[in-house]
Amino acid sequence: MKIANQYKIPVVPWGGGSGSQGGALPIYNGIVLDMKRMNKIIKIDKEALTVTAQTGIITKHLEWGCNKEGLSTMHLPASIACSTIGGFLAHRGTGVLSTKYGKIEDMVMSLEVVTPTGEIIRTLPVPRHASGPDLTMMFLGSEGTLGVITEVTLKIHPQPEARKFRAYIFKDFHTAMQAGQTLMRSRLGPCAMRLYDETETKTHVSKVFGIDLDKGAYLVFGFDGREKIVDLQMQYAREIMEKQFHGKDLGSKGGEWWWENKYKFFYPGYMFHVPQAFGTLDTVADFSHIENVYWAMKKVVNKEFPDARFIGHFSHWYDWGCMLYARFIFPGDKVPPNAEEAAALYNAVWDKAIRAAIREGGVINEHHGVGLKLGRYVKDLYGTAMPILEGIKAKLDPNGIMNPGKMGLPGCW
Amino acid sequence: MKIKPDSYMFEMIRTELTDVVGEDYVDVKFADKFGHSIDYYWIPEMWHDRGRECPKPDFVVLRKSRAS
Ligand SMILES: Cc1cc2nc3c(=O)[nH]c(=O)nc-3n(C[C@H](O)[C@H](O)[C@H](O)COP(=O)(O)OP(=O)(O)OC[C@H]3O[C@@H](n4cnc5c(N)ncnc54)[C@H](O)[C@@H]3O)c2cc1C
Repeated sequence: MKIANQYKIPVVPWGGGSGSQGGALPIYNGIVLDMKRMNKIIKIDKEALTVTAQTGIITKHLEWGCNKEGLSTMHLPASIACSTIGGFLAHRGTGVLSTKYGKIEDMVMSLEVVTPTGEIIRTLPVPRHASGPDLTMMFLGSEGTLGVITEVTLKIHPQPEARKFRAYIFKDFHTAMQAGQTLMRSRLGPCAMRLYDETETKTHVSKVFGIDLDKGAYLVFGFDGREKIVDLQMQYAREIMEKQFHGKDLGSKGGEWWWENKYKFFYPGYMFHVPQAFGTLDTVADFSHIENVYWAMKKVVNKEFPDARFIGHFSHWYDWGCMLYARFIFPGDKVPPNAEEAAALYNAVWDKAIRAAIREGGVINEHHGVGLKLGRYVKDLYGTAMPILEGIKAKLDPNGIMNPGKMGLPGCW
Repeated sequence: MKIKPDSYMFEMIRTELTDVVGEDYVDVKFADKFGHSIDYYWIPEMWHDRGRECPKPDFVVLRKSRAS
């Protein structure tokens, strides 16, 4: 970093390059700092139940290290095999068990960071303190624009005695959404929940599971922990699904299908690829707004881009709201062969859909980050608070060398 | 920035970097730079698909520890 400052060369941290927002792209050339040699597990503390690791470690390797001790990070993203833990810290990423164990920012105890000017700093060792604002949180989600995160201490957990799933088909997406929200408001505490709209249930879930699901919306959830407690939680959850919302029970098998195939959705044969044009319109909102966000995005994509298909599922659920993983997909023959025209069409979808989501109270986004792709909406999102973000950047990175041009922050080359 | 690879400044910076991390851990070969020019974002993938060039790093640096 000192050399880069001396010559004013851009530095872009690179983990696995699995980010979908262009965050790791060296748009102004310079140095790409590939973190994957910093891949050591430094310590597993079995008393505090924490793991300290260098951030270039592949997420799966970190998980394996914990599993050897009968423990788990409970951070299980679909890109677990090809992404680094540093990438998740930089993007505030998430895994499939987020509803109980949280997103990565809920798991972090403390960080070591190399600042843009080359100082090595440590944030406070525990997250629950009242010693001023939390620097750990300031670096989480900073996407390499405020420094390089070199070490992290994460909370870890014992493996649960049982983890059980159950799935239902509801007559429509709205009813399934009401059922999901009611389960969250009941505070029964599922470890995961996922709801697919009617289109995605039909075209995607059926294909991944290799079975023909009924018409309607597929909802799956699970609980983990001590088996007796899990069974009781499941019993109460079933009452909500069956008695209150009349979901068609697919049984525990219907839930296990999802758990077994949870990563398959994102891999070849089931995922989209160039020459198709596709994007994940990741948005998060509270329960009062999330359905409106879904309808607003769907309407704008269907109306303005009739060649595109719109599908959506709700991946990560919290006490107050959930994440919408909406997608648009253009078939390859509807994407202009000319690169500039293809980029313009692609960006037009984002412009319309993201602004519709923000208007309805959505926040872009929940776990993919901003990067290059969404940088231009950050000012809309932050409003009058934007100068604070810019001021932090200017103070920490006076030469503007760290990942310039990302996250809506200045690019100075 | 884009330092011309045949300029003496390129070599000055490259050797300063190798002095810190070792000769093997500063990549300047096309293949290594190319591998760090496309992530999972659709735009660079499409750009590459259309035979167009994506911005590449001048140097790919692989550090083993946070400080020497
Ligand atoms: C098949 C597939 C499935 C996916 N599933 C999920 C999922 O379930 N959940 C999810 O959250 N995401 C998912 N993603 C997106 C992606 O894996 C995440 O965004 C991940 O966090 C990126 O990690 P990476 O190591 O590949 O980072 P990169 O793509 O290399 O970098 C991402 C950003 O982080 C910065 N960065 C990287 N390391 C550091 C560091 N040490 N310090 C500071 N900045 C750093 C980079 O500069 C860049 O801005 C998926 C991607 C794919 C391809």
